[in-house]
Amino acid sequence: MSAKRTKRVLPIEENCMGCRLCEVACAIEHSEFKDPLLTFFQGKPQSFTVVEVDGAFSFSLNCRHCDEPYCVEACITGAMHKEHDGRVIVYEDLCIGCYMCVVSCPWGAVNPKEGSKKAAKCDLCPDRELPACVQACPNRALVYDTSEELIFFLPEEEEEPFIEG
Amino acid sequence: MAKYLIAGNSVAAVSAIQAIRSIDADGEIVVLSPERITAYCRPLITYILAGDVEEWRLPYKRESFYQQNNVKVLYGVALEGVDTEKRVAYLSDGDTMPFEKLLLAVGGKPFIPPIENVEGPDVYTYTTVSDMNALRERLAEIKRVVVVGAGMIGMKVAEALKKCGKEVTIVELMDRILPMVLDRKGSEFAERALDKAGVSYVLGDSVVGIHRDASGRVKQVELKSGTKIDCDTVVVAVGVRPNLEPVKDSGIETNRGIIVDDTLETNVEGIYAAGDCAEAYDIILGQKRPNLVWPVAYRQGFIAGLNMAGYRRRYVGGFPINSIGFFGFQVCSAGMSAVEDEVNGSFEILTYVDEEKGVYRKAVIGNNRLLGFAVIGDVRRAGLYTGLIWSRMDVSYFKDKLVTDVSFPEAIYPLEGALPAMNFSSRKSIRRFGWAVFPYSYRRLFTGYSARIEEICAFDEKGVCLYGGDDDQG
Repeated sequence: MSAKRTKRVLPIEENCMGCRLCEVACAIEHSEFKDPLLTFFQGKPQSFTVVEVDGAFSFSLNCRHCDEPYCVEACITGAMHKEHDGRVIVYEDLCIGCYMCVVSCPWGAVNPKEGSKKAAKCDLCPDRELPACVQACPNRALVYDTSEELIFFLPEEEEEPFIEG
Repeated sequence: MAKYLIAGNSVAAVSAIQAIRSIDADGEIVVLSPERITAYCRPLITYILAGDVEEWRLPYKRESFYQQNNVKVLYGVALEGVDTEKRVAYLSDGDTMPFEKLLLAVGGKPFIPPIENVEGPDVYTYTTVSDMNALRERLAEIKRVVVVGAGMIGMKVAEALKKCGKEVTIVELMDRILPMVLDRKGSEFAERALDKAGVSYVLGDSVVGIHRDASGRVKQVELKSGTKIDCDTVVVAVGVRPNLEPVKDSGIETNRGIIVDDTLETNVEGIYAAGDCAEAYDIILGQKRPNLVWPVAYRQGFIAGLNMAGYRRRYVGGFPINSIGFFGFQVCSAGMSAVEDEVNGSFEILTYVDEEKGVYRKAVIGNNRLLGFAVIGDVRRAGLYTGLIWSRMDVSYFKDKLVTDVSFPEAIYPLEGALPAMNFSSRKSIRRFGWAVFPYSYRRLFTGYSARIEEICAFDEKGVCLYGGDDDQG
C-alpha cells in the first residue's frame, strides 16, 4: 500500500552457481565481530539468506520486505515492524521469542536467532550502502533494487477482484 | 455520530484503524475499549505472570498510536447491543451511539464447561489483564493448582505457575497435550518436557466437580474417573468461543461466530466483523468457521478496515497458525496438524522423527495439497510449510523430501550429504525442500515481487493452484 516501493534484494537464479558466499558475507556482517575468523570460531554465525539448491540450479532467497508482511501480522508484541522506508525489522528488546513470525513467513526468511530466544531476519544491512550479500556475490545473481519492473509477472485475471471503483 | 465505530480494542481493532487511516485521513473513528487500557498483547499475560517479561512490554499499541491516528477511545465501555434499523449502538455505560459503519471486533470469551461448584472464589479463567491481576494478587497463598485443559492457554499458565514455584497438575479431556495441534506422537515430546519440569498431568479425564470447604474456598477437584486431586486454585482453560452477546437478537446472522462474507461484512450492510468473534472463510476446510488466532484477527481487521473506508478488497481466507513453547518444548503448526489416521486414504501423513535431537516434523496431505503441519524442536524455516498451505500447491512431486530435508544455509550449518558448491554434476541428485523445488513461474513471481501469496496465486475453478506440477526449467 505504500506509495514508494521498497528496495529489496532480488535473486536472479540464472546467474547463481550456488557458491554460498552470500551466506558467509551475511553471517559476518551480522556477527558482533565483523571478522570472518572470529565469526566462525568464536561467534554464533547465522545467515539470513539461504541458497536454495535443486539439482543444477540455485538461487539465494532472502526476506522480501513485503508490502503487507505476514510476520508483522503475526507478531504479538509489535516487535516485528514495518519501517517508514519499507524495511521490515525486528526490535529485539520487544521480542519474546514466541516464533509466530517464524511459522508465518512463507519464504522461511524469519528464523530463531542463534543462541538466544529471539527472532532474527534480514535488516538490509543498515550500516552499509549495499547489503553484504549483494556485495559479496561474484556473479551478480543478487541485485538490490525495487521490484517494480517485475510486476508484469502478475497473472492478468487477478487484476480485477480486489480493486473496484 | 461516529463515522466509524469499532467495538473492541485488540489486534483486529488496531489493524482496522491502520487500514481506515490509510484511505480516509479525517473520518471520525470511535473505539469502544471494554478494558481500561490500550490494546495489549494478550499472550504476554502468562509471560508476565512467570516474571519472564517486564510489565512495561504489555501494551501492543500505546496512547500515542490513538492520538497520531486521531482516534477517540472510550475506555471501560463495551458494546451491549446493536439496533440495525436505526443504526445505533447501545453501550454498557447506558449511552447510545449512532454510527455509519460498525466493526464488531468484540473478540472471544473463555468457555466454562459444566463443572459442579465452578462458580465462586479460587476458580479463574486466564484471558485478560484483570484475570492476570486477580491471580497475581493471590499468588503468595497459592500452593497447588489444577489447570483444566491442556490447550495453548492452559499450557502457558501451567508453565508460568510452575516458574512461580507452584505445584501444577494439568487435566485434559483428550488423550494428548495440545489436542488441537499435536497427535499422539507429538504429544510424547511435550509429555517428556513436562516430566522433566516436574509438572504432573492427567490425560483422557475431565474435572466433574470442585469440592469447597465451609468458607467456600477450593480444596479438591474430582475427576470423572473418581480420582481426587488436592488443590487450592483451579484455572479453567478449555478454550475460547466467539463472543456473540452484543449481537443477540439484533438481526445479525450468527452461527458459531458472526457470519461474514468475503469483504468481512455481515448480512447487515455497513456492519463488519473481524477477529475472534467472526466466522469467515477458512481456505483449508473450504467453508466458514471461526479462527481464533492472532494473525487471522490482524488480517481480518485490516481487510474489514479497508472495506469500511470504501476500498474494496477481498478476504481470501485464513487458517489457524500457532507457535507455542513451554519448558523447553517448542512447536510450530498450522492448519489441520492433529490429524491422526489416514481416514480411508483421504489424508496422507508424512512424519520425520529424530528422537535424539528431539525433532519431529509432520505434514498432513489431502488431495495432493498440504492441509496442515507441525514442527517440533527445530523450527527453522517452518514458514515454508505455511506458504504451501497459502498457495494450495500440488506437493506430490517433492513429497519424498517434504519433511525429511529442508534447505538451510549450508555454508553455516553443513547438512548431512551436502554437496560441494558449483559442482553441478554431483549436485544433480540434490532435491531439498525449499523454494527451489517450487515451479519456475511461481518462484519467479514471489521471489521477484512482494505479494500476498493467497491473493496473487492463481487457481482453477476447483481451487487448485495453477502453478502446480513440475514446470522446472533447470
